[in-house]
Amino acid sequence: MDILERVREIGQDVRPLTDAKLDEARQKLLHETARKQRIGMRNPVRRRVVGGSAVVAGLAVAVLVVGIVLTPSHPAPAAAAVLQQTADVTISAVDTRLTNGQYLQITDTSTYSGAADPKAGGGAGTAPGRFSLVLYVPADRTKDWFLQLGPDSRGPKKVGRLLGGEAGVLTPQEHERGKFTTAIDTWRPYYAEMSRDPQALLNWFRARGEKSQGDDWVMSMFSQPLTTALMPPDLRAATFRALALIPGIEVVARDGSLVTLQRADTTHVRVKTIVVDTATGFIRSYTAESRDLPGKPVTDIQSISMSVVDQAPTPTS
Amino acid sequence: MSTDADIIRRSVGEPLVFAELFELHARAVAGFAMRRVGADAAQDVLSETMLVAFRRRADFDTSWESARPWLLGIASRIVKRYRAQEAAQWRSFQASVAGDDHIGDGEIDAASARVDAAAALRALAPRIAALPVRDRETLLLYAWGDLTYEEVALALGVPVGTVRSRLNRVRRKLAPPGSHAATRLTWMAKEETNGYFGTSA
Repeated sequence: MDILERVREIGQDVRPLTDAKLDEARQKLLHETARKQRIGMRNPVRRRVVGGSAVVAGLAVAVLVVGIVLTPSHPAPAAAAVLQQTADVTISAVDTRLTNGQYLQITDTSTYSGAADPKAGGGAGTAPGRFSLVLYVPADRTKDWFLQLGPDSRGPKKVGRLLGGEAGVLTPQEHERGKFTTAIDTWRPYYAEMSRDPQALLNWFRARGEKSQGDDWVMSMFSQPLTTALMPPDLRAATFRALALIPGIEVVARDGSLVTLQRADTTHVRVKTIVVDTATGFIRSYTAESRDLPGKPVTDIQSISMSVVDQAPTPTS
Repeated sequence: MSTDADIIRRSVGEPLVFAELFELHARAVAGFAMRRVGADAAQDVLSETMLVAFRRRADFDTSWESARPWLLGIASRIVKRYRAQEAAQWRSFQASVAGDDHIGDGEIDAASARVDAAAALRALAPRIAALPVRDRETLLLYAWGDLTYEEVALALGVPVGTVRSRLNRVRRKLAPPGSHAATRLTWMAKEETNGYFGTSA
């Protein structure tokens, strides 16, 4: 045997680098590529820019929301890897444990700006503002849930009893008529029937969305339930994996375990940005940016936080 | 399907695209680094390699479809900064290549062959470690990086004839002194070098 072939045998049994160490190296590279991409985006001469910058309130996570003009045809490997990793975390994560009488308090805060107010359905020219709602989910999910408009919202601060809790969820027919539980638990009536196979799940959503909005709509629908622990863990994991199948999602920033992913639709009119927490297996914020209307782009930044409280507010009606 | 050259070309204008190259080659670069410097330093070598490659992506010769030789060349240069870890790795190879302790009655011939092979490998480790840096990196890109002569030349930025002569020199140095192989290799190397320079023996 050639002596050089002998050399090949040395160290053949060295163990490969662990996935965790590989991911650390990946994160360093992605941080650098994202930084370089942002610098490039500030030069408008060579590339179209469709966004500005935004700060995710309450999370202390700076996220540069810049629309990237790409013509995606397949999922970016780095983004898919992040979503697969998050799926692995979310399926093994233990949901927040509540004792009897306690509630999971979910605060959903939206900050919007631009030509129109997407929450209030206002016309062009509506002033920027904030909107928040707080959902109280009891330890026993069959008991009443409560929904309260948050302090940032206009209108009376009423507390509503929500649909008699999990046992009283909307029927699929009511759901089809446009009645929703809450924006962050929209698909509750379907949790049992939704496929845990990522491709089948993606197809299921694609069949329900408006064709004109395509995967832009699907990404919105996937993202919102992944902000909370209301969806069963196996379905959350399948949803992260289905998200990884959507073409065009790219990693744009990393900050520790927080990874910012973004997708621009083919016309670059709508840009969706999500901040995924790979340590906890949840989406921490969701930003939708749209240039559908004349004037400044409409930006809606939604931040979701969860905490445990000992009581829910008393219903006002 | 995009080649590495396509990815690198696109990444000059769209830096994020470079992440695709990581997914394609990180394990190969990491495997090479693990063998060269061990587990503790391999992650740093991988990170530095990818960052250097990213910063110098505009310099990549896109006439090559695969970026693996280029990446392994960068990794090989970075490894030079980890001399202590590399030395420790060679000591570890020397210690770990051992014979088989459990030999059955009918397995004596096979077992002694394995022991001989293990002893030969054990003897090789210090000789490789003692090679001049240039020869060692040429050898290891060829043997551990699984590159062709041409790819090693690309990785190191030297003519392919230089790779050939370095590897011949390595063969002579690694062959047991006074062995038939060593004598034969000396003549082969002489002939090949003369042929390369266009002279006759």
